[in-house]
Amino acid sequence: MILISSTQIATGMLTMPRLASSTAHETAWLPVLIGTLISLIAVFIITTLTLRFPNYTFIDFIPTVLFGSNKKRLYKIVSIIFILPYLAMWMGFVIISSRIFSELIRIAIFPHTPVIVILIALMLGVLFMIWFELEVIARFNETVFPIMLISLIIIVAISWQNAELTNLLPLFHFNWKEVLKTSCFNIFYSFEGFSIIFLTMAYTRKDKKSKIYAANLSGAAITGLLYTSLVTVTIAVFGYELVQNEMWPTYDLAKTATIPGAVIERLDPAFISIWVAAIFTTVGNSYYFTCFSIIQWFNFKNPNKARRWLGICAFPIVIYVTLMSENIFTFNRWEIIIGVIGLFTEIFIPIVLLLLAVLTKRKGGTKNDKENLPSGKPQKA
Amino acid sequence: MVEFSNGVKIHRKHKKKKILQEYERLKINEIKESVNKDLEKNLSIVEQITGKSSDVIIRRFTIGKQSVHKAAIVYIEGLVNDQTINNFILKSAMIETRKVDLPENENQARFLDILKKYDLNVGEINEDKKFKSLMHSVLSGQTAIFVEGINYALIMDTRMWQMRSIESPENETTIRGPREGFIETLVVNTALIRRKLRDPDLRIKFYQIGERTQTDVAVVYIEGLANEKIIAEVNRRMDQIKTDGILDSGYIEQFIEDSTWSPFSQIQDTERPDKTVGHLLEGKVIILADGSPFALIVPTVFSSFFQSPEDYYERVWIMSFLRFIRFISLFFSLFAPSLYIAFSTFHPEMIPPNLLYAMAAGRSAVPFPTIIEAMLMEITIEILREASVRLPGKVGQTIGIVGALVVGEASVTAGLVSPLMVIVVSITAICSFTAPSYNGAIAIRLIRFPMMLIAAFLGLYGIMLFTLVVILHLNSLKSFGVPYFAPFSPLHLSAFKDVVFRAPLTWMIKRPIFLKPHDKHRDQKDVKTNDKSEAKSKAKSESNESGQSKSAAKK
Repeated sequence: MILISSTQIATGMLTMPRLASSTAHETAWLPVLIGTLISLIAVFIITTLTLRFPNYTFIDFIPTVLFGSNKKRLYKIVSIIFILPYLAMWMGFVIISSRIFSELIRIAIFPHTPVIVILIALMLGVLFMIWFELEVIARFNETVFPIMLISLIIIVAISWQNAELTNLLPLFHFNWKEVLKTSCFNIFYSFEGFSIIFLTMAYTRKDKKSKIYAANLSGAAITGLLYTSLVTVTIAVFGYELVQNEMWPTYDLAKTATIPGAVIERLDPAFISIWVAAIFTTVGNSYYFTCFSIIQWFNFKNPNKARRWLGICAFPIVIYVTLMSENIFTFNRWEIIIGVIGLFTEIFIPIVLLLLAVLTKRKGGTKNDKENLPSGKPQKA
Repeated sequence: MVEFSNGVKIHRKHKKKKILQEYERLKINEIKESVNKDLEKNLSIVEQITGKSSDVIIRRFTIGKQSVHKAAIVYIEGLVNDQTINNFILKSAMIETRKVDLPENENQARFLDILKKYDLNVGEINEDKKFKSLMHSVLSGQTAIFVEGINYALIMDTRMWQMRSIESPENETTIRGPREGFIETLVVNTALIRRKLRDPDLRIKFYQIGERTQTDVAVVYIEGLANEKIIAEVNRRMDQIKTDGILDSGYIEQFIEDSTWSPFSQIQDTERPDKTVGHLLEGKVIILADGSPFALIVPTVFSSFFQSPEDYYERVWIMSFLRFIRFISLFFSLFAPSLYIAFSTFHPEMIPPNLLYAMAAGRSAVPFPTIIEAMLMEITIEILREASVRLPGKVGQTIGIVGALVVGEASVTAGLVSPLMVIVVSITAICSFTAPSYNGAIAIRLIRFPMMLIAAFLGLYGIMLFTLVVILHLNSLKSFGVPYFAPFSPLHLSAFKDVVFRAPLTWMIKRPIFLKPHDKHRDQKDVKTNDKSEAKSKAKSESNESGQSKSAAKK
């Protein structure tokens, strides 16, 4: 559950208030809520799908759904058409999040440091993450998540001091079409990341079904609630016109935040440093799962070693791609592209797969398969 | 990382194993003979094995009315109780047997049996045929008796040697609580545990480790309470130790710990019997080594390094507050210098203006960048600390005062460091002393240095990144199958009441769940756990339960 939230919360949160308010104006919280709902439905679908194939990751069960078996090599190769968008999306998370965040750090706290230094420092940390097993990653997310959550709650709470509720009025003055379009295309990027359920479910403890649903859905719900409150507060503080002109409204929100009578004069460097945790988990998880699924697709004998090598080899490429464009606005465009891919992978493909699976009555992943897993230890994600 | 280090370990172990096997083979050839009937030959073998060492005493005498049975005892001077040897062995064998008429032609075995059953009045007596094991017993302070015409020896327990009296533990002092600490003698230590824990389920298992030192090592646990998997894992690792000597339990710690390269020690040590018993009651396993006053506690989690046994002796609010203070000090001792470096180098805007002016004034005379300044001071503090440990008691204190006051004051006046830096460094040093456990605090001391370096390069961002990496590392550690960072992750909210604050004892009737103890409740002793099948089924249902409560805590 926490893995989901911490993968979701990333740089999206920085720009989201602007994107959300671009069409919905005062009611920017509405598309965010709708986005939350959509993501909840998608999580539900994905969970249902994965529950049909316990102990299978999507690498295993996509060919199973399509052809009824995951043993033949041909099936595997064909299924790559379905798998590739996921990998592309995760890699997109890695690249976009790390670049945007590095830019933010450069602008906010290190005006004289080149982006590459900040980026490499971040990616070295991420590379360290590749070293460990999935269980460790899950536990790591569990530890870091409260830090992130508390910092966001604090920032929202503090900002209420400056909020003017009139900025949120009128309450219901919007165009349904526009709002839906916004929630699907502009801000859905911020919600993406829950497709990791496809991978992690195979390794979670086999609980009651209701519990699994509850855990997964609450993970996505936490993200949604956080986002909604964040957007609401940002609009309330700045008013939507101002938000439109801000590069990273959430960062500006942190800038305005002060604790009366506190020892620390300005809070934004502190908040940004804490957000490192949020970015680190997103980038790290995405990178990890990309490598993890590639390795699983190739079915290496020693998945840990192979994953480490892949992580190291992909490292310079990722850095290069990340720094390819000088212009940060390119990345905003990329965000939308990835957002659309995400829409495809996280909603469309699961629905199709689920329909196929139900129609053909294909199920899989019996108990015997447990031994074939790379790390057989059940772990709650 | 794990894999690589394992590889190295295996390689090294393999090499060592080969050498040891070779040595073993030669040694066995040398002493493969069993005890034979000829007394003089036996004694000459003993002399040959020990190389006629001067402290090996061989005393020849005769037994029986006619003084026909020649006999000899072998022991090591200083390791045995002279009184026992004189009064109960020699006197019995030489004088008391004169009254009895021991027929010469009677079965020799029967004769020794009579000796064993009627004449030698010592507590523990055994027979031994092999020279190898026999000599081990003699070298540990027992006495062997050889009799002409009998092809085995009697081993009598006569061990007694000079030992330190039980004193209050030096490294783990408390205001309130028992004042006794472990000493170097194993049997005394196990007795100290037994005295506090009159539970028949307490199990003590002895090992002899060290090819040459043959050190007694005891594994202590409570049957039916400690998780079998942990016990089995401890036993497995103990069996794997291959070395020539164990001089302190620290050797064992390094042989059995999970990750050798981690700065965090995964096994806790203690000098206090009360703490030991407390951990036994939580379902942990204790390892004691002869010659070391430090007991090892496995498995250990990170948070237990910041708990003192005193926490449970005083009242709730006070001790919860002190625990909170300890967590704050942990934070300060880890972050204070690096935060100072980050703030003054990269984020002066975060410091309130008035303080900033004062800082700038203090720093104006200092020629170095903050990182050099901080490193200089931190290393000085570490040197002072090391010096005061090595120096004898009173001189050590003097050095501390001279170092802290005089050098600190003088270096500020000389313009080498800024006054604020001195404050930061001394607070850091003092904070690192609050951790009740030395080897927990030392990891923090070590990590502080890379943290300072990265703060100098990447400010708060670097500190956060490094912290994340450390957290990642902590999460990857395991101590005997128990996640090192429990109960933070995996999250067990129920265990929090004994980690973040100290709940009333009446609240803590459940044992920490992350250790997967069998008998979960403290308030009543489960009698059934003696039955193995019962215990097993119970363990099963319990593990299910713990799994459920785990996921419940998640929600």
